[in-house]
Amino acid sequence: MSEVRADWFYLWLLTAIYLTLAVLAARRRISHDAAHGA
Amino acid sequence: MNGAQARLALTVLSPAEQLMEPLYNPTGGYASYVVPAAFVLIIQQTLLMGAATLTALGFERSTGVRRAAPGPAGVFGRGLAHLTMYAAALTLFFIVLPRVYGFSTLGRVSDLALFAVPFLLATSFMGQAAGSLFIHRETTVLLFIATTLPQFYQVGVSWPLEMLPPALDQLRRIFPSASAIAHRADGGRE
Repeated sequence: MSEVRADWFYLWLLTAIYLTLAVLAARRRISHDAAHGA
Repeated sequence: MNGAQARLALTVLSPAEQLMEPLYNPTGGYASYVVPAAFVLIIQQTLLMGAATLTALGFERSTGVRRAAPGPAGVFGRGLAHLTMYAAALTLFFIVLPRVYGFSTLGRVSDLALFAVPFLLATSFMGQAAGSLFIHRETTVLLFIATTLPQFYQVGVSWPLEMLPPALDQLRRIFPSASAIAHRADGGRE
């Protein structure tokens, strides 16, 4: 039970990490494109 | 020797007739534990490539694809859209096909849904992050295709996890499928 619960919480942790990364990467890409006139 | 004598000889050799009935692996093959793990990988890899390509397309003005808002709400909204789109694929891969192929269906649908939500959201966000990171959208597809087979060997169905080097064991956890397949291997029984 505890291992399954740990896997479940770990998946939510990954979700939060990748959500943050996706937001940061999108902002970085927008500023990069703006700087290069894309 | 005719057929009757052959049967008589067999009866003398073994008076008790044996009926072989496999209890835990009724199909007698490896498909019942390899294929469900492969299903999880298929779902993850197709979603990663699709989310990354769509995100990268949004940055290319000539394509006409709308760029997602860069804030958390925009990224989360796109993740929810992917979740609803993949609900049908999940139903097919984890409810319909295991019954068609005669695989183990020990896990409850509610347990499956509990894992499916963070699994699909994490996969979608990972794909969106990768789609924003690379200038050329094809790069993410090549990258994710190249990781498919190494991932398959590191999820614990074709190679024991205990034999993995510690560094690889940690590295494989960056993909959501590692935790999702561990749960599928348990069958959701606990």
